[in-house]
Amino acid sequence: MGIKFDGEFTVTAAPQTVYDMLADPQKFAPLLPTYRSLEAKDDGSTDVTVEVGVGKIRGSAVVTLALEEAEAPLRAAYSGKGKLMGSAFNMLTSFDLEALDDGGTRVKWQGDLSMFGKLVALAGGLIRPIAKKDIQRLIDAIQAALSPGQAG
Amino acid sequence: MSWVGKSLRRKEDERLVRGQGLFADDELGAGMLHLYILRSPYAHARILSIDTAAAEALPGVVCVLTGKDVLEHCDPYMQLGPEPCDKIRDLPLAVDKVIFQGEPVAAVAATSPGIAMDAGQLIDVDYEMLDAVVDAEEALTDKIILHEAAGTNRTWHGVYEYGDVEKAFRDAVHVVRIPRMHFHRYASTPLEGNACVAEWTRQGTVDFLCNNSFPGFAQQLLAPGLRLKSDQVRIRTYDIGGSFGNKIWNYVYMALAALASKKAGGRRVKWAELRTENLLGSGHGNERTFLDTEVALDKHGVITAIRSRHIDDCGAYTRYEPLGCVIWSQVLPATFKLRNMRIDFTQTVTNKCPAVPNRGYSRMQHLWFMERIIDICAHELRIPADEIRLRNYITEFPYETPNGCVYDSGNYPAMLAKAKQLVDWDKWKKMQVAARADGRLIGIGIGTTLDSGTNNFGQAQIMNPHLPFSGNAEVCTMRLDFDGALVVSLGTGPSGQGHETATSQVVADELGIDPSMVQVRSGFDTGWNTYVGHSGTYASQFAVTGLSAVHGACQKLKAEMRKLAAFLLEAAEDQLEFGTGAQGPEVRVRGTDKAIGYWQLSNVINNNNAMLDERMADVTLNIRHVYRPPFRVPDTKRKFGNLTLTYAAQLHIAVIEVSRETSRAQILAYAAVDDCGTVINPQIVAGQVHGATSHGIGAALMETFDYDETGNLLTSTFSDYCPITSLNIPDIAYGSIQTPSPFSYSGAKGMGEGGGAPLHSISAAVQDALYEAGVIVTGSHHSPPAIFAALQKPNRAQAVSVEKR
Repeated sequence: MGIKFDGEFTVTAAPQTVYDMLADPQKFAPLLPTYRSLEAKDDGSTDVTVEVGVGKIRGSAVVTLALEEAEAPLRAAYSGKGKLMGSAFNMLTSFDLEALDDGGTRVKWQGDLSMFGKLVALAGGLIRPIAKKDIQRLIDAIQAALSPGQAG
Repeated sequence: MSWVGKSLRRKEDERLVRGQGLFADDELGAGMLHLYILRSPYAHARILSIDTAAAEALPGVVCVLTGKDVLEHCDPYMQLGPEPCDKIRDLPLAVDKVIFQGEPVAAVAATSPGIAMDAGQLIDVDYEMLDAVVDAEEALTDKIILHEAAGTNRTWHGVYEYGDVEKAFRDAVHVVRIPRMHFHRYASTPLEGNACVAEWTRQGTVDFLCNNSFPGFAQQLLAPGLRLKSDQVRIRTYDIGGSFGNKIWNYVYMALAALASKKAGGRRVKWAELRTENLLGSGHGNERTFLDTEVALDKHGVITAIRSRHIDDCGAYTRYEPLGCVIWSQVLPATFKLRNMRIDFTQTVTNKCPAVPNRGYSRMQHLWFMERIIDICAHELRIPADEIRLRNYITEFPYETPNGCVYDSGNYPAMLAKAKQLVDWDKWKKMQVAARADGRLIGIGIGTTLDSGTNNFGQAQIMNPHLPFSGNAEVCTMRLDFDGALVVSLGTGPSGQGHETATSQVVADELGIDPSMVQVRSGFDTGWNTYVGHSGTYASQFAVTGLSAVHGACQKLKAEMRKLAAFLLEAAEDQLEFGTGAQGPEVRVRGTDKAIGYWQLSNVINNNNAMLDERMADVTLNIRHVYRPPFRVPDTKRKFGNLTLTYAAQLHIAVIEVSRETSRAQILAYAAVDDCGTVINPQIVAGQVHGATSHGIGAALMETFDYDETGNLLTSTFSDYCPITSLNIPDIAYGSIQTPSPFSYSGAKGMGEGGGAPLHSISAAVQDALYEAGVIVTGSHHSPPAIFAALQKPNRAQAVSVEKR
């Protein structure tokens, strides 16, 4: 089961500031709405523990994030993969940054989520709206962090 | 008085309805371990590593199995098919690659099911995901290959050609072309999932209590797979909560429980499948696509030839396949008298759950295809659906089909007449006209189908000439017990078919006793029952193979009883008769008061034998009889020969209404007529017909295994798969006719699979409802989304063409 998302938003921070945050898992991951903890690994990837679930099917999942592309201050792209209750998911996420005349930044993002296993069968139809909601919460958090005083 | 033909209440029900049945999962014992199987979330992926440390550290976990253990202790299961099937490596756990979602990757044995399951979540498997192929035609391009050693996904190909097909098409008045039809994937979902308790004993043998429905076959696969001799594998069953063929193959999981027991030092290990596991990884029915179908007809609408190309999708492993590539040909012309056919048949593997025998195995797909053909031709040529069938039905029996099968008996026109009467055909025809005038979509569909029973295993040689299988057999042992009761054990292992009852009826008649004096041992045990490699319950054969073995054993026992009684009563054997006296069943000298009771005969042989002399040396009152049907090995080059002994038939009529608002097909009336020859127990037959009908209705309207493009099974819970329940089963107007088989001692034919008749009748009814809307029914599943899509995009222009000459 595959779900693709994309969109864009603007923040008041300059592209380099935005890039520095988005390209650093230690800064970016805590903005995930169900973030619990992270652990940097020797190979450069980061294990991020998040709370996930649908309805009463709940648990924590470890997402291994790897920064695949880092082109300062224009683009950052992550790959991620994780497991949850006999299921697995892979994701690709990219952020393309564009400087605005007012000094701010337009962020165009894309997400490609693939899921496999029991969770798809149990909650397949519910995952898309939940993912959409969580993505919006992530964007709100990024905007709050990079546009102090404007988000919300 | 005859017990055969009476609706004797099922002897089994006394214990089953009181909750006193014994199923594999009921087995308890101190120190028993529980097995959890970790399954792949991916349909196709390479296994990079498996870390079991955290699972093994969990308190209560006794051992963990991975592919490494399997390689160390097992050999791949024997494959039935010819090259490239022999290159397929089928083991109880995936070793370096998974090829369907749900494939076992690791297993944990722990002191409780919960601990085993928790530990399973701690096993860290690192996968490299690979592209999956879920479409059979795409699989045949071999761009993605499942079994790399095989080098191709194509597991079998053969051409079945009979008669003069080209001439028939040259002479045809009409040629109907149907480019594509598809039979969907579903299964039987038995009430009881697969289960076993395994113990690897200190003597190096393995004891299984399980619910395998073909133990003789399972033993032949398990023993070499576990590197044991056949007799070192003991397989026991007791009550089995439905099989429908699905439980033939569960030896794969039985081996895992045995390995866990071995690794755990011989502790007993239980594995009981969860429902989601059953749907995801137990076994599905074969999916089949019919391409480039051409039908030649004469001016009367009589089909004279068919040519077509069929692709069978057997999922990830061949296991019981590619037998299905031949088994369909037991019913090559269906119920029709055409003599010219050419079917190009190919089978492929895909990244989906393996196919296993499923009620109506392989024949049902073909019968649906044939019924769609005649039904589409009827609509296109404007011939009424009942009329075109009457013009095409086989009417003289025994009838040899173009490929050498012999239909033993039948009367399809009489079945049609009876079904029309039961459903009130004329009334619905009138109501249909009126309803259509109001814009309502009402359809009436006929489905005529065959339930071929008692296989000739020689047909396996058509698929693979090197296979050492042919014929068929079943065994019965019978003992006259101390108290004069008859103790019977069979090679069959029933899974709800009422074998104890039907056997008792036959024995009671043959020996002149009450059925209550016949004790039929429940279940099966390779350690105690007598059996042959064919022993089991499958392929609609018990009424012929099982009961013929019972009948033969009765004759042998009676001969011994007669001989012994003649000796003891000092009379000639031809002066004796069997009957019931004041003290129960006895053998007596006709016209006198000289008699000896059954228990007395048994007592002489077992306790009081000093009075016997050498003439009685071979009398034991302990009989073994093997019944062998009169089969020959088929001509494998011509694909010609008698593949099945009996042909039961069912004819169903469905009246449905398709809602324009919801696209739901609702059954308004339903009739089912059965002909299984001489009926042993009418109540059991009626039950089988109702069960098969319900199952087929569920398959036609509700049940389907949907996969997405990456091989995710989207219907792996009952919420999504929607099995039929009593709430969805319509009232079924049931009737029967009896055309006794000339090939069985009693005239009975095997039955119970039902031939998928509801799929045929409901597809035909949906066709009838939607034809005027421009819809040609080319699929077997008629869920609301499928009907909605059909109504949104009428397909008649692409789905069928008619050439009139």
